[in-house]
Amino acid sequence: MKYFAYSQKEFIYKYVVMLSDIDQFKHMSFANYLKLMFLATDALMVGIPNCRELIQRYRLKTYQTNMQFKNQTVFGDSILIKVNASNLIEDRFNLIFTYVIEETAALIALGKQRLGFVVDNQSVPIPNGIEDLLEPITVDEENLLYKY
Amino acid sequence: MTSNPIDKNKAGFFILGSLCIFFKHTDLYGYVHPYNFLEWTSYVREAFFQETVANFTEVLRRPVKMMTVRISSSLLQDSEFGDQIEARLSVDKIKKVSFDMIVRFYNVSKGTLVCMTRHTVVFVDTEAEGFAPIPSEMADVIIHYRESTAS
Repeated sequence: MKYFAYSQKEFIYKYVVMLSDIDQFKHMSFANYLKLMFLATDALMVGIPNCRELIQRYRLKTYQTNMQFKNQTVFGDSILIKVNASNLIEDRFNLIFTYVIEETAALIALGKQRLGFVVDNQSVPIPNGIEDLLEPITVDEENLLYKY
Repeated sequence: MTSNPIDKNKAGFFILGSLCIFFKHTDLYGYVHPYNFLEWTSYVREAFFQETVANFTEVLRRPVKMMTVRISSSLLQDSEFGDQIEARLSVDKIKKVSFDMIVRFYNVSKGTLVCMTRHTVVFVDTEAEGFAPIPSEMADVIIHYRESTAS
């Protein structure tokens, strides 16, 4: 029998649940998890050296958003949002998001976005710099523990 | 003559109109940020229950709670500052402990379907710690908004 060690890089965005995030049932409202997904995407893009120039020239367009909710969070929970990329084709790519509580590693949510870049409302190939950003965190979704 | 989706028979839909696009809703490029449709989805469903379930606030106080378990959103067209959005909610896949809610967002100013979200809610008994049937007051209402009726 063969054994192997596997280590996958991921981009991690951390967020602490605040009082303004929770509702009268003491849990974070579902829409806020989706907002965090967009924030994590933006945080990933900020890592590109020429990010400001790039977003002026190319519009990052979200075509599809999916999320599954597995557990609730409450005020004070630290959420780690692990971001990976998948299905890179010429002009589209996925970002997949795994939300866990930092202290317990309990799974909170699984998210997925289908994204692309457009100029003058025309889809364009993924710009240089973005591919360099995505390549280290790219995974094959078929090999993952969860279905996003 | 091209049919305008806004003119469709409104029977079978719960309609929340008058969602106006303000600067807050727009992104760097002048289009509505897709997150807004997800937030509006939560408003539409709560408005639906408030308006159609007479004792909804009493239902909320019971140990059986409604939880969202999944949501998907497809952005179909862009909308801009000043556009008027109308949201139409219908219900699908009604089961014993869960059902789906579909919200279609129409841009009234442009006469186009701009976004569609679908989310699944499940009912959980927080005392018995298990799934619970859809509260009867809600079950009695949602059957009138089934997707087959709406489309």
